[in-house]
Amino acid sequence: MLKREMYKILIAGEGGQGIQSMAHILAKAAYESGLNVSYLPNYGVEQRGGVSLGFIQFGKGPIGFPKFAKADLLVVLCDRAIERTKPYVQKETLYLYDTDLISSINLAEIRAEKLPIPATSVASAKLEPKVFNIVLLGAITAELGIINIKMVEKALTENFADKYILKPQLKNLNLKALDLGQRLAQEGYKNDK
Amino acid sequence: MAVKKELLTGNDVVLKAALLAGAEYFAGYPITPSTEIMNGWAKEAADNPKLLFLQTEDETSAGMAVIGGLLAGKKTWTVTSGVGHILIQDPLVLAETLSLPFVMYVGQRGGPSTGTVIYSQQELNLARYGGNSEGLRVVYAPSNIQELFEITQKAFNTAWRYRLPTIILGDGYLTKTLSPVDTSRVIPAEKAEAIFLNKDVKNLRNCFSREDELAEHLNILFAKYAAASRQIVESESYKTNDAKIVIFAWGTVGFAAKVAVANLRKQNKRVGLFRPITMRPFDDRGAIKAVQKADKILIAESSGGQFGRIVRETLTQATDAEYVRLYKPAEGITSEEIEAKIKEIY
Repeated sequence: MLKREMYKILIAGEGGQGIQSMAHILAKAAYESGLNVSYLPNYGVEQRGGVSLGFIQFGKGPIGFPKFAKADLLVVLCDRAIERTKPYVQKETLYLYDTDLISSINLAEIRAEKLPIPATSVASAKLEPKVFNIVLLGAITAELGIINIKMVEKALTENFADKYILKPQLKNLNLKALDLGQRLAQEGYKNDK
Repeated sequence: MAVKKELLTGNDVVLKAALLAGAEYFAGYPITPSTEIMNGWAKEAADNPKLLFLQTEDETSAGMAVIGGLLAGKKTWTVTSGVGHILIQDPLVLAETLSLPFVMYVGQRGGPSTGTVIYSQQELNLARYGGNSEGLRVVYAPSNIQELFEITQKAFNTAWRYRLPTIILGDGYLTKTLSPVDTSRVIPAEKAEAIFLNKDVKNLRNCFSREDELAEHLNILFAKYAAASRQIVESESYKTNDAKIVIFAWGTVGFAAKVAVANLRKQNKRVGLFRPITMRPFDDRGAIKAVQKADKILIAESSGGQFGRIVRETLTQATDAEYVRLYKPAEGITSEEIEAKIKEIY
């Protein structure tokens, strides 16, 4: 589990993978947990289909600039994002990735502690493949002991409130995915680096 | 009033501040990273019959519609970015010559041309002197989301009090960031009036038949601008009194620099920051005072030197300090980078 005064988190993936939803939920949950927070979405002209980045910072202290130089926690959801986020990696960075979306061979040059999470395959086997990102969100929350899981559940429900009107069963699915992700991280899929 | 914290994006904040300032009419055309402000206004206007909204076919017509609203005495405003900011300079210079309180938020994005869609500090020249302008406008540069809330309100007041076009020059980092804002900081709003329709105003002219006629018109405007400037000009000098290195930075980078200075001071480094809050008029006196003890000046900006040129021109006679440039055109500059640069040159 990460222990910091201030947390700097970068989530990166393809446009459409739900990067900004994950980041937004996390930022809201951090705020509702009583922390100071800043979240900056960042993407290119090719908003759908390009590498999408979410810069999140939170903690008890003041927050300076919305972007940062190095991440404490980096969450990577596609191969293209590995190269794009290289400048943000330092040896203290915790590198969380979906083993079904990224092959560890591509991470050979990354010098950081790695936390592989088989989010897509577990989501497919136990729930539905589309909730892989919520599984990852659960894993992220577990690694960040500072955020209250109840607040993540609340932010998650608020974020998808519109969708739940049409498909009420999604609510339960998402909450299950969140729980699954937490357990995945806790049970420890920690790599031997 | 008690502190009232809300979790908002900068785009939410601009909209909220404009409504608090009494904005009544918005005419505009969407462009990233500022579209959300227009969308927000459209939603508000759908629920509130007192608010008017017009989406035009481009930014030239948006600016002209703003002029129309102002002539009718409505607090009218718009929002744009990048290439839209180029197009809107035509109506903006019209507002300059007619002394109209044209209020505009600009979210800088990368350039030249379409460039990138979120961030840069490359629209400074354009904001200060775009079009065939004589610079008869006010340009505010908020550095964080709290300041954005207060400055947007203030911009409306400045525009209406002095009858000057007023720009709030931000960027997508500023307006896309979600963070807590104290929304209890409300500034009393200046009154709008249809002065342009009253009996004293016979004819507003943007076209003159003789050179000397235009010169006379301009000299009156220059004198008014000079007098108003003394009231309007604003800057922040942070720990500059004993600073041997003074950072010059503005807007979002200005805030990054402030965080860097606070950290460096804890390490006993004599570093300070001069940050203009109005980019036009520019606080020359404040800038000169800030460098009295400096032997180095670090200019940090996300452009190829648009701000640096203003700084060097302002300080020409005032200092022999060496200039160090941290120019990152189109890219953000973090506090960590500024801190590292200072350590390298200290």
